[in-house]
Amino acid sequence: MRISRTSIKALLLLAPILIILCFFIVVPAFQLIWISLTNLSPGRPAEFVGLDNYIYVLSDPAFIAALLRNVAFVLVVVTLEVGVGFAIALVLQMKFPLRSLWFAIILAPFAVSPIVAVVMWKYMLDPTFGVVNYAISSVGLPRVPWMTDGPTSMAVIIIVAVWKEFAFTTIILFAALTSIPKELYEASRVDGATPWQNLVLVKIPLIAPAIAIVLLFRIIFTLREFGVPWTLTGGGPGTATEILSIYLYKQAFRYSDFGAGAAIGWIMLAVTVLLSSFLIRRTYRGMFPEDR
Amino acid sequence: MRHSKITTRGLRLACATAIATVLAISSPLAQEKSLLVIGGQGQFDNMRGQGTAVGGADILTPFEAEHGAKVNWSVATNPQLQESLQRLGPLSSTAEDVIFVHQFDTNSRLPDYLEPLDSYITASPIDGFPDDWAPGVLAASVFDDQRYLVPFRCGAMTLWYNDELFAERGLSEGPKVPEDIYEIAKAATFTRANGEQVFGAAFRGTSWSITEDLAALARAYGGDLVQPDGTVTVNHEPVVNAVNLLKRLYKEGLMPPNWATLDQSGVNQLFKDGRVALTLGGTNYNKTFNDGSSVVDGHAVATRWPLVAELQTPERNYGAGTVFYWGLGILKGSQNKQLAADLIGHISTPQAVHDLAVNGSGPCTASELAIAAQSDPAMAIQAEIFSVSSSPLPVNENINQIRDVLGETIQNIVVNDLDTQAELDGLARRFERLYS
Amino acid sequence: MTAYQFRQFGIGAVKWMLLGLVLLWAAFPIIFMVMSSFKPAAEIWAYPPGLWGSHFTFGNYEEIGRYSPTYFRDLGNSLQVTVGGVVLTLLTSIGAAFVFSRIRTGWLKLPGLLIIVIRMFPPIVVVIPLFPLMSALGLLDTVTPLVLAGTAFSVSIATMLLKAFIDDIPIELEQAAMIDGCNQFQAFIRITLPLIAPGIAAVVVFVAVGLWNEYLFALIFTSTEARTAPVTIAIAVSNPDGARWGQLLAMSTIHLVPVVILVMAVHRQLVQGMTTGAVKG
Repeated sequence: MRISRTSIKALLLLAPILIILCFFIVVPAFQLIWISLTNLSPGRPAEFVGLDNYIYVLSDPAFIAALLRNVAFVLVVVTLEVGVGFAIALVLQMKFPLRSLWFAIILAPFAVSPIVAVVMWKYMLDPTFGVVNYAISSVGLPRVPWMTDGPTSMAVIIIVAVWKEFAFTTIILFAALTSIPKELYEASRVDGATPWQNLVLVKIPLIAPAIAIVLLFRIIFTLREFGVPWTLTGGGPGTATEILSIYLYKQAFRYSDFGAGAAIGWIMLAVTVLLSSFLIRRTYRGMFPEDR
Repeated sequence: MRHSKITTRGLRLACATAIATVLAISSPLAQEKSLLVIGGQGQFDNMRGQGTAVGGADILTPFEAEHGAKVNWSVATNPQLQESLQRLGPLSSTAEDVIFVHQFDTNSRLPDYLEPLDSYITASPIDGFPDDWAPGVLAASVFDDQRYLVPFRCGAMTLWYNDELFAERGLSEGPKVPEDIYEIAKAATFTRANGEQVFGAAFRGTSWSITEDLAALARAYGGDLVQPDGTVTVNHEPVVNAVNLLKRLYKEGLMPPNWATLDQSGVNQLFKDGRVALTLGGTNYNKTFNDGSSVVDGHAVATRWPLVAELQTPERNYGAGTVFYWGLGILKGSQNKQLAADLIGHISTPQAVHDLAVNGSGPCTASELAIAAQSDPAMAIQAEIFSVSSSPLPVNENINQIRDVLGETIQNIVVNDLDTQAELDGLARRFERLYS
Repeated sequence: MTAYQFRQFGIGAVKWMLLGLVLLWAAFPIIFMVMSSFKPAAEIWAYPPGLWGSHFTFGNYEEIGRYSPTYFRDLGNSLQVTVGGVVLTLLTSIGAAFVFSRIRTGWLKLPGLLIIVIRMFPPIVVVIPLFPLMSALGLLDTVTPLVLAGTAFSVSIATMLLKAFIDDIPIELEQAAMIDGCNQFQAFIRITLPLIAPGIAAVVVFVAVGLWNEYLFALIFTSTEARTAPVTIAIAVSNPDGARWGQLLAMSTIHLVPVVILVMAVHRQLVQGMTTGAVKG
């Protein structure tokens, strides 16, 4: 087979990226399989233990609980992100002067590091002196004892996660709303539709594909959430906020059990790839349209 | 595509500036001899005479002058410090030289992580070592006849109360039996006219801290979480009683509602603000509590640990409490082992031990403890506890998991008001696996 | 005022109120933290809380050096990771984006698929195998693994975004230059690259934000010397002797302000990039 000059050129240009991906992601991912079959612990020689780690992890009630908790966490966060993001996109659809400035402000939370977001929300949500409880109590509502038990701790993690990431959904859904031809809902308005009917019957169905994509993206990226819950609660109180990434971290880096950590890693990876297969296929088709 | 004002030239300029910045920052700074210690902020403050020990002697400066080396500190907080030991220990080369090791980490993995100290101590003996030092503490860090740690900062957990608040609520003395804790907490929980809530009692509720508090409470009821030989007794009656006490205090609002997130600092702050009447604290906290900046200055009183009536004898009518200690070790990957050993030797001289005790670090030597006990009643209690008590749990390689599982279970029981016996039975099964 | 005018006024007021709520949600936490960092340390927890302290002070900033003496070095480490990662990402992904946009060869589908799949990879999965590897290479506690691993997790999105931007530039422009004697890649560099400068800016900011805020790799691969700012802040927030909130807010403000300004400055391109990334890429 003759290799064309174009191929060689392409290969040369791709080489750096492929090397870095292989070295830091592809090879480690395969090593992970091997590690998950051993009892590797830093500073000790590793022995092959077969499927022991998978059996240990899958039969650990704490793992099952973390998995279910993770699923619930992802569902709540993503639903809120899409809900809040969509509502904000609708607000921005109204004609405002200086719209560009409002967009700049809305993007600001995206720039904030998870750790800094934790600091600012921890400061604002202090049960006794925090500004949020002050605002709540000054309108006559009961103060919320933030971070004192499982539900209030989970609530704080969810608030921080949604605050950090809602801008993404806002922007995508705003773009989708903008791309709806005006004639469509003007026509329905002429037909006597209320704004609410217009929203539910015309706009939402038309941007449903965009919503689906945003949902998938956010599910995949929320599944791996680590920094916010780890610095905010470390998984506590009890195990009320222990999600998969925290369970993995504890097994591997607090209990020095790399084998179990690797097994969890593989389970997480499998779930992620499964969830993202639709997005992967779609992106692949976008990239190589001739394959359609 | 929309074109913006960003030009190619601007981009090129930005790139060049960025690269120049990186080069400027990464250019090696003037190298001087230095030693890097990884430990807690409190230990650093004790050594430098700052923080709660502000105005005390700085014991590191003389060392730095003598050896022409700077002692730098890498601050790590408690669970992360444990993780650092595991992460740095196996490395063949580390920037860190000396590490603070908590009593719970003195398990059989220590030789994997740390340099044996015997040859260094033989070469330049430490005054009074090992005869003057608490024997139990010393023995814990010896594996295969090799010593891996020199103890530093020894203390015991006892109860402290605010005698001003006590007087205000008609109370006059600390608890004698564990039930008294509840009665005192109940009597001392009230709301001031200005709406400020005062809590009768405060214990630490973070997963990291529960082990010590619960072990001390269980001992007040005459039991233990796990026997020294590894027999799991965490679901026996004394522990059930101890957990039920916490549960009752929490449920009835006699402890702060954010108990599960209260660590030592949180408890200390509440106590120092005069918002808690009775709390658990180290015997070395005289300086922390009775300090000029706190409203309880002069009113924090250390009292002995209670014990159930039927176990009280004429010889001993108080509970055993628990002891804690830290040790200093040299990481295997240290590049300055001799200097690190010199530092450990310097910190362990009688003068340094004395200065540290004055700065608020509990001494590990009998002679310094005797000196401290003359002026500080809490130190007298520490001396007592050291003669009858031990570490909260026997340690093994699974200790981090053991503590997490314990902490999580107790938090669940107390915060969610679960059935104590059933949950502790479940915990005992997990403990048996981790202790086997 | 007629009923119609009144109604219009009402709608306008509601509209602006809604916008106000949106902005409050997005910006208030940031503004409140930045303002509070200039309060005197004793007033951080003043009740009722307010935006302004009794006077404006840099006291909290001056105290950073006392209890987190390495913070400014750690910020330097973060900067090194960010700049190094951005430069490496651009150098590698511009070439790749060119290939995927301009060259059609059957086997390209394989690396293409690889890049798409890898975008979905959770970083926490690779830290376990990378830790022993970095240890064996003696790279722990240096910025190198942070730069390289950070790059590995950035090139995928960067390539896809750049490809989308390049696709928008007609290839005929390059072909015109090729007639003048340039080869295809040279023509691409000279003609197309300047045209997609705004897109490149968006990619730079997108990648830079991720690297500047990166926490997981820094937590695991560094201990002291190469520790980055987020790790130091996380340590300060969980100080067992009590978080010093004044300094914590000051440290956080320093970490936050540069990226927030950067993101706001290129928000137009960033919005375009996010939309492209999700919809096309």
